[in-house]
Amino acid sequence: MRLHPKLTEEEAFAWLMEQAKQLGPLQRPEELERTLRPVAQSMAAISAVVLPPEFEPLFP
Amino acid sequence: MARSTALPVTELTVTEIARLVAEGEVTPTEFVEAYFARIDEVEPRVQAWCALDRETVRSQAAALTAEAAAGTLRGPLHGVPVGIKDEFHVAGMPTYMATPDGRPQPEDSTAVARLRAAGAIIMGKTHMPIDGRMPPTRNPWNLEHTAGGTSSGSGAAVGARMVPIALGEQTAGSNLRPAAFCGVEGLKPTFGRISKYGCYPFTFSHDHVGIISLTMEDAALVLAALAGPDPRDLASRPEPPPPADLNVATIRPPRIGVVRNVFPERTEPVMREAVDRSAARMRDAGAQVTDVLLPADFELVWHVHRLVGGAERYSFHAGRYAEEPGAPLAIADVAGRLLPASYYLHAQRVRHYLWSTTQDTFLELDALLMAVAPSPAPRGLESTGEASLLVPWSCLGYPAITVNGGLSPEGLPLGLQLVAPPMADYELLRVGAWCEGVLGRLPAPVL
Repeated sequence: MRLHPKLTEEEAFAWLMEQAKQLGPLQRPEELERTLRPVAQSMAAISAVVLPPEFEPLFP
Repeated sequence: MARSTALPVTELTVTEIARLVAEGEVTPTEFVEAYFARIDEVEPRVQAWCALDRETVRSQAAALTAEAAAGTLRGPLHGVPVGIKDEFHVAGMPTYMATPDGRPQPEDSTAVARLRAAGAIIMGKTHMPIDGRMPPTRNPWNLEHTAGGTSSGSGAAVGARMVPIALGEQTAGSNLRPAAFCGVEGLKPTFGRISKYGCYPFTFSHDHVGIISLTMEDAALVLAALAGPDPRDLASRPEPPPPADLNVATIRPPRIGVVRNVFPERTEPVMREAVDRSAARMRDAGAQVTDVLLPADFELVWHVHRLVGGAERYSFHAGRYAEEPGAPLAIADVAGRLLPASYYLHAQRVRHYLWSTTQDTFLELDALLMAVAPSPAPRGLESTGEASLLVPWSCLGYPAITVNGGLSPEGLPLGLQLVAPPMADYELLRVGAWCEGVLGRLPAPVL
């Protein structure tokens, strides 16, 4: 999945749902969409941010 | 025994207990018996403890009593009873979060070992939610309400005065929320200030060892005993511990910034009013109180926390699946398993950006002020409440404390949150002590 140019929430959600199908059995599959929707929102929000190179990953 | 039951344990602070032991006025054994009496009185209703071993506690107290009688004090917490969240390993006791079968752990976490070295008495382990199952713990201010979480038992144990202080841990909002919901105070220090070795992880870079206390002086005393580098925790900070004494007499009115964006819109009116009312009292007492706006892109912090936390959680907990190939994947692990590495790393870059830019907000301020939670403790035990107002500071690693913001019309505590820049833990505790003097502390709840 690309990082930039920015991802839309729907693109991220569709990709996550597609990938989730490959995972095998889940404990509570009925909660999958509700679990992945906010993750898709966060992926979209983060992918919209382009940073200058001095901001390396922070492990505080 | 008669003297033990007469001790006012619902009023005594750690600082006072340590002084009474050091001066030979009261023995550790007398304190332990007094707190056991309090536990017998209120624990059936509050249900804060998941493991209590009275024989071992009495043995610790007897040894400390003998040492004190001989003129030897192990450290500044000699004879002080402490509660420990289940998440921390305590030698000889179970960590249900790690091993639900209750097998005893072989060694202490660093935080517990340092408490012991300072002379503290490990009273027992306190409840927390485990794998989504809520604990039976109830809020001592209203037994129909949650005590908060995940440090549920630690918040309730201090709130109900079954111990004068307890260890908690905060990954999202788990230390300050139970402290605030239970009407006491708390510190989530700068990330890495207290070693998390032996504290069973939720994540790697969001987990903070925290303190739930009755006063800021107590939190400072315990922080000084716990902080400092630990070779067994690579994320522990190299700086030595801050001073134990807040030197309260020298504290000047602080410069407080009331956060007017991002947080208020996530907060119910009763909490916004508590913030405004408290800020006005601080201003009347001499504080410089100004309105502050956080950077426009600050809201990214919630997205960063979600992605980083999910990936780190799965990285740690994936080991469970090695023991049971083909086992169904927990729904909470799905996102962490799927998230591309590029997204995890980019989220960490955005975290760096926010960590850096948010510090500009503090150029003319000692602390930011906001609510701890959107509302007072919710009714019911099926949830421990909402962590959203605490997440940013867990994600960025800034130190945060909670102090008293009064009571709701229903009689539930309203916790305020104060935040300072990284490594300003000591300065923040001094701000908190000043606020405590202006806003007061809540009394023990009637149980």
